[in-house]
Amino acid sequence: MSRRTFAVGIVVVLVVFAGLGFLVDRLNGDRLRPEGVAEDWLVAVGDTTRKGVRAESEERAAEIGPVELAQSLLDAAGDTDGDRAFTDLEVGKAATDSGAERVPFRLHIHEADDATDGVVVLERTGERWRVVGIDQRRAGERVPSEGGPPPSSAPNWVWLVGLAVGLVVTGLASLAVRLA
Amino acid sequence: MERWGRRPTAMVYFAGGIIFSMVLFQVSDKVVSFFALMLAVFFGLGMSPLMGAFATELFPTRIRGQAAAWVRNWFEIAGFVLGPALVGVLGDHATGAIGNVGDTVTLLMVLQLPTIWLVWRYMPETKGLELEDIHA
Repeated sequence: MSRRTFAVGIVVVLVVFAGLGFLVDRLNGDRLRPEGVAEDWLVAVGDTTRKGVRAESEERAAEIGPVELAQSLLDAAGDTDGDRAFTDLEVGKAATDSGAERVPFRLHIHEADDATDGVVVLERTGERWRVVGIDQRRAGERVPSEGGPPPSSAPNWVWLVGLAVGLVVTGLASLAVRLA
Repeated sequence: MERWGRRPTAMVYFAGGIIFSMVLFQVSDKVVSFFALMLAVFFGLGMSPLMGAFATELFPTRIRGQAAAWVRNWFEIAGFVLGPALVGVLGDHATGAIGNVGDTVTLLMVLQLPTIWLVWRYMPETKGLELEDIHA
């Protein structure tokens, strides 16, 4: 293997890295799922009791929806001594109801043994989702750990495409080895 | 690695890491997850010394140092960064193309499956050889 081949190999790998970044950006597009927005909001709300990031978290949550909507959850957490209000949280698949999206959630409030559940209600405003309320769950609204569907999952064809891409990359690597 | 040889050991560890990671990120049963996690970590961590051996033994002596430095400090670290970053970007519930961390990790594992063939086909067996005797 010559130095030139080695240098070419490095350049090819760097180009592949850059191409991968571009591809991922194109694949993601402008997608914005209500489940993820609800999750981001709950995380931000939970962080409003964290020492050092309170102001930033309040700002982050307010961009999605008023923190006051989750005041009952924050009140239940009480004094967290600088920790986050929710130790863990999980969201399920959204369901459409009268133009709004209902995202079921399940979380543990600081130092509480029992989980708290509910539904985050979001409405679309332009290209963004905005949290407009927290509601109680209805029948059938579950998170994945309770047997509900995940917020999103890969369609079946993605697995075949993944395997095909792996084979193509392997073929290209094999070709590069033969050419080197 | 010294007893079985680099190549078969690498294939076993690659396959084990891939398969048990797929199981780990596709099941919700706690017991299965626990054992899948242990085995995925076992085989995943085991890849590191294998890659270390390949990185130094794959290249001829005149570029061995430079090549090993690139492989380990550049591409391997890039993998440490890009792998989790890809999972976060593609698996993000709000904006990710897949929107599911478990499926994203599994997809990345599926992508790796054919690389086992690359190891079998192209990696030279250097078990028992002195560095000076390796002429890649």
